[in-house]
Amino acid sequence: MKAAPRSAARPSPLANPLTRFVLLLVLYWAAGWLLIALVPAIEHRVITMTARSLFLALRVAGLDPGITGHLISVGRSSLEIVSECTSLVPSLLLIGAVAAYPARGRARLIGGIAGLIGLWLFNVVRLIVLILILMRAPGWFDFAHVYLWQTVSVLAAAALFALWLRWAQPVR
Amino acid sequence: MWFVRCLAWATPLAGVCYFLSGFYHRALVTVAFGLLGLQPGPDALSNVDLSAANVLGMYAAMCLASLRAPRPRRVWALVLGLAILVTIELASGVTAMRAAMLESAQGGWAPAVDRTRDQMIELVRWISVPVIWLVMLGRWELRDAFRLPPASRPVTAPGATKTPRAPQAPRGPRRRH
Repeated sequence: MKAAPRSAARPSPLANPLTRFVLLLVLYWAAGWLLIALVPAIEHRVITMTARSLFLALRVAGLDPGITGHLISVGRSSLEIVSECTSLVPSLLLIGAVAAYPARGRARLIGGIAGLIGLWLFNVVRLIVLILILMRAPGWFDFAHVYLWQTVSVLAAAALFALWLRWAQPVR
Repeated sequence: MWFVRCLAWATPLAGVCYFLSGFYHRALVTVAFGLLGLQPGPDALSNVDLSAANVLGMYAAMCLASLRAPRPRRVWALVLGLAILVTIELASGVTAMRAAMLESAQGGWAPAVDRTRDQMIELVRWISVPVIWLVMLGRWELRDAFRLPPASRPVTAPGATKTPRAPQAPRGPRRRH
């Protein structure tokens, strides 16, 4: 009598690179958010730097801004820079995705730094657009704020990640 | 091209969600308070959180832009994903209110605990959209990035003839015992 053949063992879900990526992504994002919660100085510093970047950008654009702490004023319009006004959240999303993707360390480092710079610049432009909307069409501000802050910021982070993916080669 | 399609869908959907945000917010608040056995006050009903509804529009745009996935899968991802997002938003709201009630009963928590609670609730809100999309449609849209095999197997239509086997190499001469 011949022995019955063993059924092939089921591959572990962790063998799927996409599953591993999603699990690592959630882990890194949770760690990033926890770090922000436990070290409030990070958030405070980012808010201050964002306010100063916006002030400089508005001066370069010839809009004659004023700055008091985290409050930026242009003419009669003013905008208080809070945590949601910074590129902190999309940056955490991007850094988490870059760290979770199975690429070489050097590629991740370059992707992370380039992504941070790209998102910072994008955020400054976003805030300038919001200030202009606040000055010219204040009725549209709430809608533009949510649309540009949440939707476009997340898509910007995803677009930078996709650009980096074209360059970074996955390692097995 | 996915990003262009996503932005094209997200723009009108953001407008739709903006108009529905008040109704959505009031519905969520009413159900959340109801689950806790409480009545929502006028402040809770009037302070509309625009991002709660916008999250739904963003997810819908991501699904509608994902043309690599089969249409039934996209529709399923859209319906199930939106239901999950509404459930997550409701759960986040109930958790936040329970935590606030507990904090009030205990005379306040340390600032670090407060911040951690708030950040973890925000984390769930921010990451739920990309994670649900990755789970539902990621294997089609990111197949090349992760070098995944094709998601669907080829199906033989009924009545079709099987592909003939390749001829085997001839065996050597048989030994006779």
